[in-house]
Amino acid sequence: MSEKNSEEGKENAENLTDEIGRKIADAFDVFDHDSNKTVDVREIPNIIRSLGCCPSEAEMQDIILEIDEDDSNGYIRYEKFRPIMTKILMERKYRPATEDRILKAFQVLDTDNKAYLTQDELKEYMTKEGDAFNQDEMDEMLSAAVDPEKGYILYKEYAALMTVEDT
Amino acid sequence: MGCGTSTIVPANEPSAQKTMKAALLIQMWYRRYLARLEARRRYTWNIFQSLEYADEQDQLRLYNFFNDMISQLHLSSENSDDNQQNSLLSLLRMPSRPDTEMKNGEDEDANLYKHTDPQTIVVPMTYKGPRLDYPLKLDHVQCLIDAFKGRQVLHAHYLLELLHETRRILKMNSIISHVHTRISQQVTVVGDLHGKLDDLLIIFYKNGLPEARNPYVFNGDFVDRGPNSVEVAVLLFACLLVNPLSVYINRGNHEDHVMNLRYGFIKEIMTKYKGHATKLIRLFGDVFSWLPMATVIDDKILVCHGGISNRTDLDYLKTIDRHKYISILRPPTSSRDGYDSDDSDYNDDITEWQQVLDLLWSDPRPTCGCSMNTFRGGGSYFGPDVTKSFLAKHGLELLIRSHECKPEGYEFDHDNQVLTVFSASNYYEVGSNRGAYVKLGANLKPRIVQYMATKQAGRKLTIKQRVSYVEASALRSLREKLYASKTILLEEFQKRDPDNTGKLLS
Repeated sequence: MSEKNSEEGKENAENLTDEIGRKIADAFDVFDHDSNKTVDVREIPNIIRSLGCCPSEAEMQDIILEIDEDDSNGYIRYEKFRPIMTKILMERKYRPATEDRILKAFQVLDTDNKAYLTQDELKEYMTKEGDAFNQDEMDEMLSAAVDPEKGYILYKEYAALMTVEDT
Repeated sequence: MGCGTSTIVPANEPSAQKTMKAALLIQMWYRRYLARLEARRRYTWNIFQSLEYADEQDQLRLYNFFNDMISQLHLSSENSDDNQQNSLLSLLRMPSRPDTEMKNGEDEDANLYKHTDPQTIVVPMTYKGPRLDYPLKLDHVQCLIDAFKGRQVLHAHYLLELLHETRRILKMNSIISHVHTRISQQVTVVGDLHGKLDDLLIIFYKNGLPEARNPYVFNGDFVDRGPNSVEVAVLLFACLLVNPLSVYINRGNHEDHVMNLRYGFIKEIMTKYKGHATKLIRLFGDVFSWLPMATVIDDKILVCHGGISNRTDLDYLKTIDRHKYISILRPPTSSRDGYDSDDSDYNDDITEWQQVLDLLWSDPRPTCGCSMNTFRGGGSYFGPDVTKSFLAKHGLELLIRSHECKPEGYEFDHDNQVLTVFSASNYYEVGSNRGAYVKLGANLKPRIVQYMATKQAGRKLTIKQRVSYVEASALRSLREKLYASKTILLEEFQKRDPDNTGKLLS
């Protein structure tokens, strides 16, 4: 924290750091199977995302490169992870999109302005554009996103539903 | 910086790029949702695993409790002819070593047969279940499968016969089995089944019944916890009798009388066989003590239930008389058997016991070295260095073990030198984990086959539904545990809250 902060501000900042530190420790522990303050590097994306961050795949790779040590054997130490994750959370990087922005993104994909996407359309976009989904991710999304009666995706309702569930 | 900051797509951007950015935004948002579900699933997993192992931790302590109880009952039964009590006593006495006067093998066999003679149990005319005669044929196995699917119970007479036949075959084998795939060109390894008949039937359905061209290694823990331990054991033993050279059954830490007392197998036998239960329990216990403790495939792969430690030595294991371990939870005692603590016989006993305990109870860990398995209360934790030097020393390439439930039914550890395979799906709760078995082809490269037994076949649950369901169940178990320990917890809380504020300082 910068020196310009008042005493009070400093205290708040410390509280915030404490709280962030606790969140990081909790999220890390869930994936630390052997309770030895290390996790498999493949778990890192889950930890970072479960802490509420939404980096792209390329950004995720950059973070992992930064925390992975040469002699790590595929395991990441908490000591190495904590400061980098703290920085990300303090700087509020990779914030998740709001419901409104998700809705707008769906509208961009809905080129005919029909207020829904067919399963094929969604599959096409999600598995061919951006950081493409794998089969499991696609199946899981469709299993909950498709309106059981209509058979297509009413994205406005879906985005709202997901935002509620997420809190 | 992050894509999160690249907000709304400007209207003047080319459409392809707009589409790409929109898709990316949705993908990042959705992956965060999945990660949160995954975190919840792990929380749940940790709760179940902690509850499971907390239970096992008590096991060695529990042993002492039973020992005390046996001696107490023994004393009181001398002054009483209460039948009930005597039969309870004979149940509890199982874990002791064969009596010294029974050292002679033939006497022991005769004595066991006298107490478990199938001919003393008459099958009533009204019995509609499966009937067996020997030599057992593949048709009998199919007949048993059909009967068990229809929830029929094998009559005690046939079960005793089957167990005696199984015992006869097992006695001829040694503590370490050797399988060769030269002719079959393949072998299948199955992990913990824990009385889950559905899982065994799925494996047989997908992979075929055991036969000369389709050999199996069953890696222990086929009884306890699940509702059909008797049926699973019967099917494995029947397969063994039909194909003694194509079926290998390793002992797990649950093929053990003391574990069975606590984890459901004995209760299941008592419910299904009532008056004949004592005989069956005694004979099952004896059969288990004849099971091999490890199997070596093509001199390249070691299959055992738990794992190894830095003292595990296959050549030493070959010298062990496995039959004396009716229960493995009994540490050799110096006082009871009249040893001095520096007696070399006693020390040999301890060394031998630890070899067995390590094989059946150990778990691999990513950290190097070997330490006491404090979480389980028995066996060792072994690191990648232990695996590496063990395999090198014995000229092996891979260790296949079971013993731990894994979300995907299998897991590779120690630079792919250790493979865990667990075959009971939905072990903690419906949806908690997949089951898996391993197929080794001619090149011995492991190929994993996963499955999930579900009552509502065809109904595919989303991850969200599965996680929520299992989570609710974990919380329920945790609440039960808390409730069961309420008095102790309250006492401890009160100790830390002398002023009765009702609050604890963190």
